[in-house]
Amino acid sequence: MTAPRPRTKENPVSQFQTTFDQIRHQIGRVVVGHQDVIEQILIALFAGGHVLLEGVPGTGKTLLVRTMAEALNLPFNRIQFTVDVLPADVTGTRMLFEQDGRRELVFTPGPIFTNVLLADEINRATPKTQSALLEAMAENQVTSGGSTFALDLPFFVLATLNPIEMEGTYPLPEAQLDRFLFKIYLPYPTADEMRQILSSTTRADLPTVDPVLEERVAATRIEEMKRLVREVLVAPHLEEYAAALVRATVPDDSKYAPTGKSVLPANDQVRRYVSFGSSPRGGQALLLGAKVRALLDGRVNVTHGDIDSVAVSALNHRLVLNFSAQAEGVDPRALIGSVLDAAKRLHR
Amino acid sequence: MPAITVGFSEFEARLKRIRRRVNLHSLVEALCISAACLLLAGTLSLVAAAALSEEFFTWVYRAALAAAVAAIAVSIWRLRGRWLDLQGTAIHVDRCASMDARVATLLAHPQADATSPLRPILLWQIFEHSSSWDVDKVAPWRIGRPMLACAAAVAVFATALLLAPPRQKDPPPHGPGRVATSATHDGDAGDNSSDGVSPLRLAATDSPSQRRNGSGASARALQAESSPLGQPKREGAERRGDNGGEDAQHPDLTGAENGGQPGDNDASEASEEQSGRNRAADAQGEPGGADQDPSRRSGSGGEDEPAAGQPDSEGGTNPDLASQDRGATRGSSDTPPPRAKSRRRDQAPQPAAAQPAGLAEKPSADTSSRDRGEGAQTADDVKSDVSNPPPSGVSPVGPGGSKSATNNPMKGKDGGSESLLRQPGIAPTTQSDEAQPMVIQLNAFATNPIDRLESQGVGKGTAGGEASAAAEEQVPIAATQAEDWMLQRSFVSRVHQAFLRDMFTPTGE
Repeated sequence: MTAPRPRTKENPVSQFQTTFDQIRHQIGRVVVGHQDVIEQILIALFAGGHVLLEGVPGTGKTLLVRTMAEALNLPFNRIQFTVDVLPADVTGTRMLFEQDGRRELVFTPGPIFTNVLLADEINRATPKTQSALLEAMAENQVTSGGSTFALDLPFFVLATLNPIEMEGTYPLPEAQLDRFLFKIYLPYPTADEMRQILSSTTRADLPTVDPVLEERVAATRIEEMKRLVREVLVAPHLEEYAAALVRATVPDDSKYAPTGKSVLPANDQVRRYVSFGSSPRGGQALLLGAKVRALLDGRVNVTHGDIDSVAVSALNHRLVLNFSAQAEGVDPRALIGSVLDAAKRLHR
Repeated sequence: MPAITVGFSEFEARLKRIRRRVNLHSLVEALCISAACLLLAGTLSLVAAAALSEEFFTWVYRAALAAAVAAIAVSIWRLRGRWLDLQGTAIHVDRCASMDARVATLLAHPQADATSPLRPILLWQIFEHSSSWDVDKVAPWRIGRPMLACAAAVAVFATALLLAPPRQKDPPPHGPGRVATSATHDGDAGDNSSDGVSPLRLAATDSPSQRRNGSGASARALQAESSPLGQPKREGAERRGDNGGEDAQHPDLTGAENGGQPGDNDASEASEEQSGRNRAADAQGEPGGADQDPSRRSGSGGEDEPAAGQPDSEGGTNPDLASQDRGATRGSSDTPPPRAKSRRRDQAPQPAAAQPAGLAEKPSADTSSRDRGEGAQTADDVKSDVSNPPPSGVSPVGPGGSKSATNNPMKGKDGGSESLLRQPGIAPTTQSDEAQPMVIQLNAFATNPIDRLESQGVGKGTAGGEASAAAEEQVPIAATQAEDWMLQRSFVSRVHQAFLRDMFTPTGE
């Protein structure tokens, strides 16, 4: 007895793969290199999360987000954060309008009301302005003047951080960091990528992006794909694995450490450098990202490899490092890597 | 997309088959490991029993037992960890067949909970890779290393069993107690005891403690009574430790009194006690005692030695000392403790005034052959003598002529030579020390108080047949009167003396 094979055109996995590949290809026409970064960003998009992109200026962060929005054929807004940007400048405000001799306060949506939002150099905004994004990122809605306004779906925030010029910046509070599904580091391009960048951006005909999705169905299609991602099956032992990974980032000597023994052995580096580990949102990010990875591989179930492939991006910004780690310049990605190594030895 | 509702039962059935087989493998492996550990422990104990002393054997046995128990516990714990439930089986299949966690995922989302539109795709993917997770591929029948280890352990154990000296069968019960094989049977004690032809079986009715404690006094009393010259056997016993050097040259002294009966605790204890004395004596400079402890040979029985009456080696060193030690540790509780069958070298030269010339000439003629070793020559001499039965038809005491050498009255405390040698005027006339044993022996024969023997019913009459018959008749007497090995030994000595006396007595007389 064999199960009837699902037809290809009805196979949502294949459709998902096709769409994803097309989007990636279109972005790749403009953005040279950074294929891993592009994939991670798309994974976060279809997982329903937001991405915090950290990189030095001039590496194509803004170009990448704008290109992605064009490829998805979704509305795109950009907010260039500075210290004088107010929350109302982000969310919108009520303005007094006079119409037909009547004056009334009408809510004017801010730039946050879009499908793809680029929050450029978000660390330059004040915490009050930064916190204006919290509700929108977590609940896809905005409250202003006692009224709540729902955001259009999909809502995807891609914030950038500039690691230099730290003077006059406001590091993101941990609560806001936790709202980002992934934190992706954008490295300098390689020499070959640099040559391609120079070649493609200095000529007369600049590369353009062909939208993958039709404008009227783009949002719907993306929402379908996001729902499909959540349909991906996860075995119980893989859920335990993801939970163990998250638990392993919490130092045992923390007063907030959970009761019970960790499945994974205690990591000395975590105990030494980490003040606070990942929240349960980290676990959610792990599984959601892993599900997208599984679909990209043509599977409908998650594996250990899927979880491992997104673990660094999903967990690294959720670790609160202590003074020792900051003094020694410890990279949280290295800590996650050590946890992953221990987990691989234990579960494989 | 149409829902795929078929196939899950087949999937589950195959998974259950894999689970049964994997668990069976785990169980078999655990059993094999346990059996291998037990067999190795048994082999180790067997080897220790054959090669080590009782004390070391106890330690080795306990250690092996503890190791075996620990290994079994570990295997049980390991089996418990490897015992798979259905979900574990699914994970195992995923790992073995590279199914990318599909099987475990599908099992975790049974049909009743099939709400995901992706579940039919998962089921289809699993059946698409059906050949890769076949039962025979995931859990094939194989001979694992634990099975090979178990087979190797069986082989080692069987080899140890085959190579180990066979355990002597206990003689059939005779009278109220178990019958101890006669001391004269030397290495063939087991055979003799089994065939029941020994005329010199004594009932060993004493308990081991009695034999250890009380038998000494009673034996000494009996020895003093039965000794030809009234010498108390205590004297001989006290000299046991001093005679190790020469005893090593007496192959006929190889623990024949133990009758080759393994498992004699008393024998081993006495052997250790004896060896302790001998070692103490050796430490005082006694000749040859260090490596030729007679007591160490006491338990050799008839298993390892070729024959008790045969010479060991030219140097007098018994090459089978190790195996004899093994025999000593395997003693049974029925065999009387070994005795020091030694004779002091410094006591050997005695004046030969009272020795009959006719008796003294024969051993002196064999001086050259006796140079190979005292014990060997004595045994050979006696053997050659016994092998030529006298015309009167005297049958040897033991089944073989050589075995009767054990009953050689030359052996010091058998009431024979040592006591006789202490008598003034009884001494060998040979020039060399090597020739002395036979001379002394013959002196002992010549001066043996036959009257005493005849008064005890031993060797009545000069005819060999009568002597043999007398020996046969002594069995019930011994069974009822003798209570320990000392009596047995003295009795054997007397019978043998009577036999030799008849043999060396001219037929015309």
